[in-house]
Amino acid sequence: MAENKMIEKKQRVKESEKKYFGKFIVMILISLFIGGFFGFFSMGFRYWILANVHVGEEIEALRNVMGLIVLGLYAAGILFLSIVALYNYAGAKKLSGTWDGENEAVIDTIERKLDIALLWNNLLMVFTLLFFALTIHASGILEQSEQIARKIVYLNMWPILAFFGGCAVLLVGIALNILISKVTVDLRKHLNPEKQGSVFDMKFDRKWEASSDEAERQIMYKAAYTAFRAANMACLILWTIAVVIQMFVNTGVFPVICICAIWLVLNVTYSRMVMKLQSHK
Amino acid sequence: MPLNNRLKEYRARLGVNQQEMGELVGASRQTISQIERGDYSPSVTLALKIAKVCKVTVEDIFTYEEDQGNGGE
Repeated sequence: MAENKMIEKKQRVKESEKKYFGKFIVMILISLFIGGFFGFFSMGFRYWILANVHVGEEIEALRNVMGLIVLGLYAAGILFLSIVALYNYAGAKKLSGTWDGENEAVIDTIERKLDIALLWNNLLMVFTLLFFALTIHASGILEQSEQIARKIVYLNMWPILAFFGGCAVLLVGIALNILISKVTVDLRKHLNPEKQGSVFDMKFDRKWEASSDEAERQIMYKAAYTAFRAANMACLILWTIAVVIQMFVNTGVFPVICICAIWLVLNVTYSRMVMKLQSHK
Repeated sequence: MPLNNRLKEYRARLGVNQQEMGELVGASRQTISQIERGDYSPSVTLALKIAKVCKVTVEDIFTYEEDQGNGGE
């Protein structure tokens, strides 16, 4: 009886593997076809762009103020993201004052608002770092410094303004990010006195994890695994985009190297941790 | 969830809130809340700690019901 069950189970696994292998092969073939199609035509399209599209004088003039436009977007973005994060934090803080320590609906709302505040704060961090690089690029400061190096003395104030403005906005963005992290963590610690760790401590994540109990850790680990899967998919998509764009414009191999480096760290860390944990058992 | 519990009832008998219950068993308020709602099945260690604090057996608080859908697999 048990033997029959085992045989049936093995048969089911085999059939299921066959089904998934078939799907996998179809996916690979479709991806190869799409990749080949875009790769082939993108090369032709690039030559067409180079031959037929010319940058007008108006666009050249726009480049002078492009740095300031990006700087404006940078500042506005930081302001918007900080306001949304602080708005959610303020809502949580206000509610925490009315919480009697028992009402679950109230504490659930507080926790959700804090989670949302933290999410917007994480977006603020990424936005701050991304737009700093974009502002430097758009400011034209690199071209200016190249000109100075070649002893072409033509000082344009716009790139300098955009560059130093970008530096100032970066500092403001980082300060706001730390401030929001601090107030949300402090409120969480106030609501959960067993929690430990300071946002100014370099080992904050470890201390926070150490002061979390089994259910909280399970949430962390599940969320981390979901993030791992999402990051793997994101790396695959970004690698595809980077390779395709490389054919249109000469972006070089650096973006692909960066993506693959992240991919490598992600998977090596994951695999090493799995091996380490398995060896303890 | 195949694991049912009467933690809320036993906590009420002790006259403590979720935060205090958490402190007694070395867990957070959220964990106690999740267990009471049936959203989280505690480890054996935590279940034993809870039973000890409530001065009952684990089976008094937690009951396992076979899932009809997959025969408890």
